Amino acid sequence: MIEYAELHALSAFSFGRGASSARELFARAKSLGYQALAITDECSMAGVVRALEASRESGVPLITGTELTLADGLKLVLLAENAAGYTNLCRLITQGRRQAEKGSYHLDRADFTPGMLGVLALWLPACDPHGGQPVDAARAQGQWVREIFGRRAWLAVELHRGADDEAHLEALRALAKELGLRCVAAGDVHMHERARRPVQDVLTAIRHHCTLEEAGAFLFPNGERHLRTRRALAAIYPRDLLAETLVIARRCTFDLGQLRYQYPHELVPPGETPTGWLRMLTWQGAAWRWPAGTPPAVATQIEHELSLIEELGYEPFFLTVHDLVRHARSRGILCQGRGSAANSAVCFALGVTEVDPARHALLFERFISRERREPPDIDIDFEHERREEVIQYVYQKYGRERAALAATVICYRAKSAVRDVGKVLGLPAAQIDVLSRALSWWEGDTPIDDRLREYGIDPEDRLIRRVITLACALLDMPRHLSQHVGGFVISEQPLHHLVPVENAAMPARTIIQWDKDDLETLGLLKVDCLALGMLTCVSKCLHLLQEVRGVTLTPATIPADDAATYAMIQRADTIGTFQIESRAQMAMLPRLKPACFYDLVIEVAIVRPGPIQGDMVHPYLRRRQGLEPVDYPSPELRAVFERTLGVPLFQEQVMQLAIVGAGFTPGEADQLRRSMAAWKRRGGLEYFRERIVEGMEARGYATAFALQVFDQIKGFGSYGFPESHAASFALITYVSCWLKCHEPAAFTCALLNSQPMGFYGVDQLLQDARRHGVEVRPVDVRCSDWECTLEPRADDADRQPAIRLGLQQIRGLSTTAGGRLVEARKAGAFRDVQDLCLRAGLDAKARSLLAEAGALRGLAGHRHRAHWAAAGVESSRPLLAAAPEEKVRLPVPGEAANLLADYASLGFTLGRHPLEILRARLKARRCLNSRALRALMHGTPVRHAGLVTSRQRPSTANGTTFLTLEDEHGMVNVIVWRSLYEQQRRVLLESRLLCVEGRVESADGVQHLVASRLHDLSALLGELDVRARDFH
Amino acid sequence: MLWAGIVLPHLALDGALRHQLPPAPLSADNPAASLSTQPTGGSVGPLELIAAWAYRYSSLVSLEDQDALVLEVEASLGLFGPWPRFRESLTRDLRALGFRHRIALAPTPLAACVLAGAGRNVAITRDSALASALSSVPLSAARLPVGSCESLAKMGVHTLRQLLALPRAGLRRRFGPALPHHLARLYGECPDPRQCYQPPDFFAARLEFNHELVHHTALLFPLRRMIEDLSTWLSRREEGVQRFELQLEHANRPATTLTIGLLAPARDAAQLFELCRVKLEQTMLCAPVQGLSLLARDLPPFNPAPGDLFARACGDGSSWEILRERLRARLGEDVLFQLQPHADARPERSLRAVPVLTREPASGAMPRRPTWLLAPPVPWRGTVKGILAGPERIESGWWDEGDIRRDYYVIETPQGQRAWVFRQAGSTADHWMLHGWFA
Repeated sequence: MIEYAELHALSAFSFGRGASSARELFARAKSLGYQALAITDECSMAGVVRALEASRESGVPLITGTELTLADGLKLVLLAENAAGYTNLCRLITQGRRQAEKGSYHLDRADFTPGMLGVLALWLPACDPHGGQPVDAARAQGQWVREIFGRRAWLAVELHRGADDEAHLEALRALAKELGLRCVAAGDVHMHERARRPVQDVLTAIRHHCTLEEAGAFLFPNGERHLRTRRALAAIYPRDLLAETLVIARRCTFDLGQLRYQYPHELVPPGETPTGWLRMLTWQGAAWRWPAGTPPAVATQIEHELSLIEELGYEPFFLTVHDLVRHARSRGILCQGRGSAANSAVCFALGVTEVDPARHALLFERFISRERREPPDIDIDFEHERREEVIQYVYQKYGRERAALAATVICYRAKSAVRDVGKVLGLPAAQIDVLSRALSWWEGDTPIDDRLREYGIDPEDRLIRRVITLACALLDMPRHLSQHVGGFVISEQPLHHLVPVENAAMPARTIIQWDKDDLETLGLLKVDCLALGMLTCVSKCLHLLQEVRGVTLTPATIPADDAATYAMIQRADTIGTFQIESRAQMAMLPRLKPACFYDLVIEVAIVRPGPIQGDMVHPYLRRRQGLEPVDYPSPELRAVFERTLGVPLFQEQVMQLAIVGAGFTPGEADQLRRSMAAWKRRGGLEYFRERIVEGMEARGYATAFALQVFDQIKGFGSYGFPESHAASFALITYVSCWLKCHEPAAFTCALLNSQPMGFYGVDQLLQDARRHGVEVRPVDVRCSDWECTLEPRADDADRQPAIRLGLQQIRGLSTTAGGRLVEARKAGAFRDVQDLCLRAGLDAKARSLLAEAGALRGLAGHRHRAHWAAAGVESSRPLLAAAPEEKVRLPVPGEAANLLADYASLGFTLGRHPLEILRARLKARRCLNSRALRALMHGTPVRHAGLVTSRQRPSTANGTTFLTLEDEHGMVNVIVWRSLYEQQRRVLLESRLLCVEGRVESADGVQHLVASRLHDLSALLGELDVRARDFH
Repeated sequence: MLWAGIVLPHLALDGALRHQLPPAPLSADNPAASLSTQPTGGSVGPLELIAAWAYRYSSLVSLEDQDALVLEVEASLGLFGPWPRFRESLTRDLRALGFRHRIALAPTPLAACVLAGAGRNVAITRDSALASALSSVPLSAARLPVGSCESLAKMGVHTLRQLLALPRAGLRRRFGPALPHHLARLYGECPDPRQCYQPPDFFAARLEFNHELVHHTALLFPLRRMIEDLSTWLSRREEGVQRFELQLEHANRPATTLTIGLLAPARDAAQLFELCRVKLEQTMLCAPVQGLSLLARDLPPFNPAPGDLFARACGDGSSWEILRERLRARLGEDVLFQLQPHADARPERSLRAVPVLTREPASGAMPRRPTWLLAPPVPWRGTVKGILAGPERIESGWWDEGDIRRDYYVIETPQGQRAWVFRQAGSTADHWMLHGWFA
């Protein structure tokens, strides 16, 4: 049978056009016996790495190319013949993308230089869409193509059973002859098989923002644009056109896998080698870390690491990371590295991380492995408000040509798929809303009929069925490229030699067309610059301490192993701290009772979906509390699991388990790790299941144990937390806890100035601070800055200073107005409201906001008087002092009115808690307050009422809802089982003040209220603006 | 003067739900008659309707905001009074009209509205009693200038008594002159000149005949005169008419109503007359006609085509627009349609019927399709002399239950006709379906 190579095929990375993945295309090409398959996504190389993987998997050679439509309508498929051609394509795509808005491209004929070395061109003549006859303009186009590409140009004939293919073919042949071009057959493939037609139609309609009904002009009239059998092709195309495909395929010898890139050279001073320079910096750092001399064990470790780095040629990577960290330090920006390679003695010496190898030896087992050739993994967290400075530094140092962010491929999720599909199938907007709500968090793997019925949707309805079937088909298909949160790629040559660069949504940002998996596959290194709110908070807190308390501290000099801090942590008194402040974490702390740094590492990692779904939490707790013996199936595994009492908690342990227990090579173990991250998406864990069970049986483990291990691995899924990350996080956790324990005022102040972040809002943070005896002073134009500040206590300088709330807390007040106010005050105290408003140039809105927030109290009196005064400010100072205004009598606002105004204007009150005001009425309803509740025995039936501050229904909790109620004495955790949820859904979801009848459950110092009945008391609140923060 | 304030808190809702209005005798010069005809085109809001109604009771009717009106009643008390009875008539009418309402009487129009709005069912006739009646009214009901109520609430000021106690100069400084002025009008400290309601314009004409007419033809002459009057009146006002009613009055039975509607406003007498004539000819006279009336309320602005000095007269009614209107008048409004290409690969759906000339015909290439498309396709029983083109494969329409998968061919018959036939996509069997003929 005739041979064929497909030279024009789009994968799903031609967004809104290609309906099949590269994997599907290659599998089909393989089964049809194609000689080669070109992936020619439209002005994009975003799918090419996946195509390379699929090509390697299937054995069908990949031809790299791209389809382009120029601004004047000229359409080309360009193929890379060799590396030079590939670079030319990347340059061209970059040019087209950078000249247009994100997501589109613009290319003119002027963007092509004659020659285009190494590029083969297939010209697709413009044809009348129905008759298939070339239009007149085509001739001129063809001549231009001939000029630019010379002997490397072909006329591509694409026949798809149109109105008259034969005539079309003849016309194209005549045109080619006239222009002196050769003809070649091509398929304009949009899907791997005909059955994808509905998906392709849906994508087309989505792309054109219309319903299928309206999309007639854009849809293909039939499903011929798939990979057709060679028999079908032979029936349509003349033999010579098919044979020509092979001529072209054979010429395209470029192999993406051979791509290499070089690190920037400027990190190493002239005359130095990267190896020598890194060694120098490392030992210099070691001398700074250990002034008394590097401990011998660490010195050995450093030598070992350096030789490994040298062997693998990773010096420039470490030098890059070091350079970023050094720059951040010099600007006073807090940062910390994490990741396997970050937890190395070299990185500690370089100042990238604070995890001391001398103190935490066991963390350093996984560094970089020689066998895996895995790129070193270092993420650097920076203060979130100052990360941009670091990013701009990178751009400045290497230039936009050589540094760009990695892309993130945004894929269809259930919600977005249902929305888009519903729209194009003409489902009414209201129904789309309901459907997408019903399907939120659905992953396409569980039956959904009951869920739909629960939302009042008939799953038998044909339209609904169709929407769901198609939405399922769209799940996980790429939708668009977005920017990675902070992964930079930096290279010696301009990046577009390597990969196309395009515009990101944010101005002044550019991204490359590959995501982090693509980079990994090709062995390119990236540096992750991430933003972390808590670092901002810690940094601000340390500055405050220096200014107000005269204490100079850095994360490294904060006393380690502080007993008071651990005692606080064990009490779960951790509101506002890093990582261990959530409801779930606070419920775990009194059970786990962290007493040393490694306990914190475990605490950070254990309250995660991975360990929870893998059912690892309870075994660990039982063993820790001595309720269950710690045993190990073998001495080898003991070494792996001893630090976590035999329970696998970390990703590293799963990998080691596979190596030690089931005989995986390190490379295979790494594959397992990646598959764990993606198995829900791609499947493919079954292969490992057999390997693990066989391997473990062969090593004498029981089959049941092996299966249990496998299930745990599966449960880990994509949520397994690497120990190396947990360790770095735990360090920040400890620092934040120490600050909260010893400097609560400064810590709270810094938290307020770093909002929004964390689990709690300003209201809760302030209440917590006040419960810890910190004085909070109201916003006042006479002394508030824009941010919150600390005011030393006049009576006793040793006591915690008071927090003076900043103008920032006033909702709606602009930064500029606040800034002018603070600036004006520097020239002298304000005499009265008139003086304030004139000098600070405050408009009516700002004046009213200040009055409403009570910030004018010191100048004008109570809120009503403040409003009267603020409204009476005249826009310019009168020439003659006007007669003093007549005094007016205005009523004093009541407590409830003040409370309402406080909540509306600030979101919190410094007056009495609303429930304290309502206490008598709650008492009449026999509701206990939270303090009384805490004293109750396990099992006591009780009624309690509180403001609902959070509702959570984690997907891991089997339909259980967790509520947090707040009253004047603190918070109470409520558990609502699924059955009650179903009975009282509305009360549960809509109450702001909720009364819970139930039973107290306490164990290990953790108390919950298990609800048996709920009552909505929101009416008591009147119009209090106390909105629950829902986390779904 | 004494003012009745009527506040209609649910005006929009009541206006929408309003059932049949009470019948009133038709007479062209009685404005209230407008209530008996359906307001057309929604151009008359419910408040205007109420104003038209109130005009029966007082010549000084004034709208206040979007939800209230006041009428001067002192002058009418002699006719409709005393007040309790007057009030009762107002209430009865409003109830019949289906409007929920509140009424109060006060010496200033603003106070009447404010008191009514505050739900005070009072009748204040002396200026001296006004202040105390207003003192406890909440500011939210005081119809203050926009925004002042909210600002005053923030100063702890919630009632008129509190507001009145504040220095006017201070108020002026904070709220501008509008607020003190509002207070002055409210308390009658300054005059409150108001714009009075004017009944809307419409064209109505009526002719009573000396004897009963029994034939259409006899009606045409008076009708032509009326139409000419209408046309003159319209051109004076730069308006056209889009819909009007003819009423044929009979001796002992309700009038016959003919509604004449046009696609676009017109005012050409000949055109309008022609439409009436056609409509009249279609109507069976059920009884002799005593009188004829014409009522035109739907009077949109009219932009005439510029008259061409050299245009050939086309007064014979042969232009397309006149033909279109005549066809619609004769056959019905929705029998006339045009075909328009529709982008759909399926031949059956590639043309659509749309209301006549509502849209410009779509341009753009159409695939080669037979002139005559059979609906539905029929089995082909003839012989095939030769295949001229094909197969053209059409696979489309899975989304609306109309999925097709076909291979189309253009064939030639032994008679030399060209036919469009198809068979199931990919099939090689000889089961052809005929779908159309080429010209």
